[in-house]
Order: sequence, then C-alpha cells, then structure tokens
Amino acid sequence: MALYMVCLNLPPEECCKSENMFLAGIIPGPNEPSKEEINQFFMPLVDNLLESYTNGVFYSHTWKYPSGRKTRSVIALFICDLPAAHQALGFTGHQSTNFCSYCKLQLNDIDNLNVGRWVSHTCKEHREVALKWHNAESEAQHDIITKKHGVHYSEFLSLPYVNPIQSLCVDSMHAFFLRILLYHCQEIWGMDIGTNDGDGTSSDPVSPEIKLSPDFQRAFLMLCTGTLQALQKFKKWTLTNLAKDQGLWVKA
Amino acid sequence: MLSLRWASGLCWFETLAHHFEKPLFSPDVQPVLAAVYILVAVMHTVAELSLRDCRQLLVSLCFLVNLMIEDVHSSNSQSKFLAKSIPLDACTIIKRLDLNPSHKVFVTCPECYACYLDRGPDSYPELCTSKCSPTQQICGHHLHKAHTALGHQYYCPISHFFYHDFHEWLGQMLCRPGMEDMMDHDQSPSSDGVMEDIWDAPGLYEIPGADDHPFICNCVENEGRYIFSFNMDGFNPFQLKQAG
Repeated sequence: MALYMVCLNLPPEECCKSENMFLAGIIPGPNEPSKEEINQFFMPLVDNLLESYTNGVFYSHTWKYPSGRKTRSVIALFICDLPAAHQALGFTGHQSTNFCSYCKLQLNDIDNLNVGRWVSHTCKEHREVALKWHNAESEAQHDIITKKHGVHYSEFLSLPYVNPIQSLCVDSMHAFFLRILLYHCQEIWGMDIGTNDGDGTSSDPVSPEIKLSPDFQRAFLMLCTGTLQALQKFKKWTLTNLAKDQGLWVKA
Repeated sequence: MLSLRWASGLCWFETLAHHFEKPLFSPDVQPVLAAVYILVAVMHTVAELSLRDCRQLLVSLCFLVNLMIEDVHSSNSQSKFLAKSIPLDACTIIKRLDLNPSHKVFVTCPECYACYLDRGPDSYPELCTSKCSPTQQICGHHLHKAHTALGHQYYCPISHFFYHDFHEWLGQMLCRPGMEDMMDHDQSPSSDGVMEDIWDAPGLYEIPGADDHPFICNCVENEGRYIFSFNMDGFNPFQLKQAG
C-alpha cells in the first residue's frame, strides 16, 4: 500500500510527474492493515505536517531565495478509492451499516433517493465521536462506537484544519478509467439508453436485500430457465416478491 | 541531512546547503570519471538497473578505460590513477552524488502493524509491546527472526517501513531550478463561475491558517504556502498474480 502526496500548487501538467510527487512510504505486505491499525504509518507524516502548519519550516537556502525562506504546507484533499479514503479519514467501510461519509443514511435505507431526507454528517460531530473512540478504554467500547456512528479515530484528525466530510474525493482513475461510474450507472442503477425506465423518480418494488437472498435468486433462475412445477415448489413469500419484481400486481 | 530546531523553538530549521554542492566539479574528478558516475547513476535511478547489474557495468567500464589507456600508451600516473578511481560498487556513486533521500526506518509488527523506530539492533523490543486499548493484552508478536550465514546467527526485523522525510523532500523541490516560480504563482478563484482548475474551487480558500488568516493569503511576504492532496492505494508488486 503506497502513501503519496501531490502538490496542487504546481500546474496540472507538472504535478503528477513522478519527480514532483512525494512518496511518503510503502506499507509492507502481504496483507493490508485493518481499520485503525493504519494510523501507525500516518504518524511520522502527520507530525511533519502539523509542524509545517503551526510553526512553519525555515529552509536555509533555496534556488530563488539564497538567504532562506519559510514555508507552510497543508493537506486539503484526500483523493483515493473509497475503501482507502474511508480508512484514512476514520470512516467504516463502504459496505458497512454507516456506508456513507457525507450523510447518515443506513444500509437498509440505501434505496432512499429523496435527497431532502439525507441528514449530513458534520465535521464537528465526526471529530467528537472519533475523539471519544480514541479515549475509549476497551475494544468493546471501540466496537460500540464504531457500530453506532460508523467512525473510528484517524491520525489525520490531529491536523486541526482537516475536514473529513468535505475533503474526501474519489479519484478520477477509479471513477473514469477503471469505469466505476460506468459500472454504477449501468449495473447497479440499471440505466440503459434502450430501457424505458421513466425519469428516475421511482425505485424497485423489491428491496435489494430480498433480491440478493439465495431463495429469490434460485426462484428467478427457475422462472427464466425452469419449469412451472419446479417454480411452484418455492415459498409463497418468495413467489410474491418475484411477481412484484416482474411488475405483476399481487392480491393481498 | 542535518536538521535542527532553532534555539528560540519557533520553527523547524532545515539546512539545504548540500543540495547546492557540485560533487563532480571538484578538481580530483576527471571528466571520464564524471561521465562514468553520471552513466551509472542514470542507469540505476532512471533505467532501474539493479545494483548487481550496475556492478557488472562498472567492471566493464573499468576494463574499457584500461584498454583505452593501453591503446594510447599513456602510462603516466594520472591515467593509472583514473583506472583505479572508478568504484566497483554503484552504492559509492549514489552516496557521493547524494542521490538517496533522507528517510526514517521503522520496524513494524507483522501482526498489529505497530511501528518502532529502528536505530540499530537493540533499539526496538524483541516482542511487540503495543495494545489497541488500555485494557487489552499486549500483542507480543516477534519483531525479528534469526538468520544463519557463514556459521553465524544474527537477527533481522521481519518487516520494515521506510518513511521519506517530508521536510527534506520539500527542501529538495525548492532547490530545483524553476520549481518555486511554478509553485508560488498567485492563485485566485474563477470570477465568472466557470471552474476549469482545482484552484477555482472555493474550498481551498476556506482552509484556516494557524495565524487567524485564511491559509491561502498574501499576508506574509516570501512565505511559501503549499497545498497538497493525499493519496493512498494498494498495489501488487507482482502484478496480477495470486502470489502478491
């Protein structure tokens, strides 16, 4: 796992050249550190950055200023894929109950597309909960806090200016070149130019948990490829959901 | 890299004089030797030739220089000195040209990833002493393992983490010609509301500074204010293989 930084002051054509990027370190494998274990590797970097932010660093001699100059540096953005960004900023994984780093929507409500009902996380609240996690005395307390709020402590919160809610970005490599956006639109939302699926204000009649259940999957497969007799052997509940999913009206 | 804190305790102080030294311009370095240094350094750092292959290259170059000296029958002492002054280890060249970045080495626990600063064989514990929370038991995993070579047993850490010093890296950037001109130009958000660059985003101008002013401001003359993005991603050094 590589930790690196890009200077945004440089023009776009220069900032991502390997000679202008800062490789802070490479976390040894073969496995990746889980959740908060990664904080150990952030510590030396955060110490450097905190010093650079609060007091500044004076360089004795630079190319343009032979008599020296002072500099200050900050991290403004965390540009990673979702698992790495969540881990770096102290959020639980993108598949956990509190899956979102922007709002408090829970996994069982993931189909809620009403933006007005999404309650935003705030930086202050996130920092308070993370500090509570940091000061907790046992592993059990850690688990309770993480389960309830979807937050654990991150070393980057020692930097007073870091806003974990606003500074998280998904990188363009994963979003566009590795086609996450394409996958999300086509596979997860089922968007297709050939499908007459309305204006996007309605959602599936059957929740994803039911659709992903083994019984439902088997029944769906049987509907597509099997016989009527075999289909009749499924439970009424499964068949009702299958019918709803196919857009049939089911009498209560 | 010499780093020391100012006596007043105000800010970190880094000396960068060594970045302006010119090791190949000293009178005892002959042009042929300088060419060998540059060739081997480029092959190692840019063309990624391993240190072992660099050694082979150096031996070949040394042989070539010897042949050249014999050919021109120049058996004076200066030519003999030249042939002898070509190092056979690329590490000597890397060290003399000061190409290695300044770094801190940490010994890491393979179980819980706790880091211990490595200052030598006895500078870190034999067993990991970390615990996630005050009431939890200590990890206790072995941090080093035994190796036997030429009949001697010695211990070396199981896993290492190398941290590249940020202050030193930034200093090195500022010593390169033209970098400060590119990094110090005035930034301002777009006035017409069309965003074409990351500097058109208002978020960057809202970062608070340590001195009650916004971080991005021209309030302190000649002070470099730099904004970075942090990136992190897993990768497989063995490419798409199960082994990695």
